[in-house]
Amino acid sequence: MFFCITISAHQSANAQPSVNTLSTVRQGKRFQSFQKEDRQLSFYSDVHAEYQADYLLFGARAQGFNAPGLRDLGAPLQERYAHFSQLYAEVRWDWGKARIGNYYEIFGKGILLRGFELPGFIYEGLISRNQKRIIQDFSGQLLVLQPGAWTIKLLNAKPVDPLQQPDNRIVERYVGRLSGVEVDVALPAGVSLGGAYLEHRNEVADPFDVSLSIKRQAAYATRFMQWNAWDVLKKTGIENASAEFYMEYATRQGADQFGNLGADVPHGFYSSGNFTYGKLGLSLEYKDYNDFNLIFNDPPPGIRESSEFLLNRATHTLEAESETGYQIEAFYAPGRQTRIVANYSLARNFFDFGIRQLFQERYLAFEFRGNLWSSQFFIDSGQDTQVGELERITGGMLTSYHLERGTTLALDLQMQGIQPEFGRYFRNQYLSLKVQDIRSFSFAFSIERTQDPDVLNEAEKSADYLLSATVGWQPSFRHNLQLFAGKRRSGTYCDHGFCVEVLDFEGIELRMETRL
Amino acid sequence: MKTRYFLLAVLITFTAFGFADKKAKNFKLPDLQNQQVELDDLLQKGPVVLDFWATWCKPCIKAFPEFEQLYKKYKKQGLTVVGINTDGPRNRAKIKPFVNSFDISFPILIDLNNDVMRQFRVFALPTTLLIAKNGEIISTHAGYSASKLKELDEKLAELLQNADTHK
Repeated sequence: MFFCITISAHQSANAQPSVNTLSTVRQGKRFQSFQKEDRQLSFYSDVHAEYQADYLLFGARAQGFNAPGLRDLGAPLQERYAHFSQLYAEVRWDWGKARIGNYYEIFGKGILLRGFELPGFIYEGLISRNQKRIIQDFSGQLLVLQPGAWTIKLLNAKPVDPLQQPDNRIVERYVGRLSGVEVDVALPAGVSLGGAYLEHRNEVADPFDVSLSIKRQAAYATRFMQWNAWDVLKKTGIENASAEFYMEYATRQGADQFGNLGADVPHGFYSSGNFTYGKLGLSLEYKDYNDFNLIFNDPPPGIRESSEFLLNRATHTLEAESETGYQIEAFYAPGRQTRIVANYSLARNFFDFGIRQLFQERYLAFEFRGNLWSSQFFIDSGQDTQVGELERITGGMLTSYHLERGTTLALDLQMQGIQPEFGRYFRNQYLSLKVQDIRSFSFAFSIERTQDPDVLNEAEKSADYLLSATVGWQPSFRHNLQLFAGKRRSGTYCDHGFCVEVLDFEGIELRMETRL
Repeated sequence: MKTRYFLLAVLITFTAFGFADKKAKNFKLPDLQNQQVELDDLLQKGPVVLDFWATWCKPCIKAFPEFEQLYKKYKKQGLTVVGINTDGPRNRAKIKPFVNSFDISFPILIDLNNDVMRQFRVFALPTTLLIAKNGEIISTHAGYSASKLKELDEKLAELLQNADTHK
């Protein structure tokens, strides 16, 4: 049926079909695993096809995975799958759209509801060991109306658990059913107001008798306000300045009293503001989440997202079960080519049995951007009791130089020292050299020396060296190939605002992206 | 087995056309002052360069001064450079002060849930698209590349020269 509609739509003069594929072929193994592994061969492919004809859009996405050797490792799930993970049709008009099938949507800033995907990232499950994309989407119906200053969103859908593999025959990927509505309006003087209501119905297995199920129903609401105070500042004669504020308060209905941020009340409260004056800028965020890990949401974590290699994995992943904290970030540009960035983030967790955890981080960076040279120097100190780090200090330098004909040389040097709660002080050092843009090729070599006991399997070793080389080839925007050879360690990995635990890998990986 | 055959059939059908996005689909996004901006409105003035970026993306920062130069160079001839921020809700509060710390005058739009990023099939940051006045996508490039930005400058010069000739 879908296919027939697609083909008939091709008759339209403005019809545009497109296909994206992302595939990997791997030959390798985990090297940090306590269980010794042989090298495994695995294939993963994600094919996403869309067909746009005037105001119509049709799409389908399939994922496939095959690793014949996984069975020998005793992995509990399938060693292969091929599955349609998305199928959708959409009609758009000037002031709205309607969609059936899979979709992404957001209410407010995502405290209550957010569907998204991590672009270009392939996740390998710790237990299942199979690979998949991180896609937190909804399957059902969506109607979005935007008459004038109003936006109205209506949805009815099954939310998907993004960490479950497609075609999972053991655990249900879809977690109940959602019905919800969001209304927001842009008012004069830069003010926007909005609110949303959401019902989630779910069936879970009876812990005393797995043949029975228990029906659960929960209702949630959120209200939010945004104020862009630029115009007000201008009217009061303050030029060259801006200010913006946002506040959102989400609750589970029936279990709370409005405005109660008590520890026993499920809620999500998030507030942010930013100010600029001349070349000085400041952003502030405050969060208070309790019992608000809803699977179908993605609240702002209020923690700095670092792209520096050693800092990226040393971050804190939000625990919306119980977390409060704040973040302050300041930007200052003393000259046209220089910039200073300073950040302080804090998160406190309160778990059952009186367990408390603390994460805090201080970051300072100086950047210089010349015509040929650009450099960044940074220093960061932190503490994360949840992973048993009493003190962590990281510093580094990233520099790049442009040669004639556009080739860029980049050097990345970083060092980190960690004092764990139990055990000895240890260091990580990272060096990376990159040559980018030699015609359509790029080359990278990196080495990490680590004394991290999580990586050192053998007690007699004082340090381990993780070497890797990557060759990239982008002959055109339609094709991108990357060949990786070497070792990369496990740990937290953050990309596009989302953090996941990635597994260690030693071997060869070929990654291919095509846009047809 | 049926699923595999069906998947293969879909792939072959689509691939057989040998296509790519030729016309940019319209979109509407808020700017930093929460004013809605539409691509079709920008295209009425002239060609548009879309620069997809995020605050944590170091190569994106490298490209900012070069986009600013392009914008200043061709603005009077109708070019609009648009920075599309793809940070998502996590870093939304930082965008204005972040942008303010650079010498940027081109407009920044907020793609809060990455809808436009998916629409243009952007996998990596930065990704740059050059769209002609008639909506045709002239070129696309993923990643920071000084030589590609030079090429972009040349293509823009040619595009704007042709537009002047046809007036």
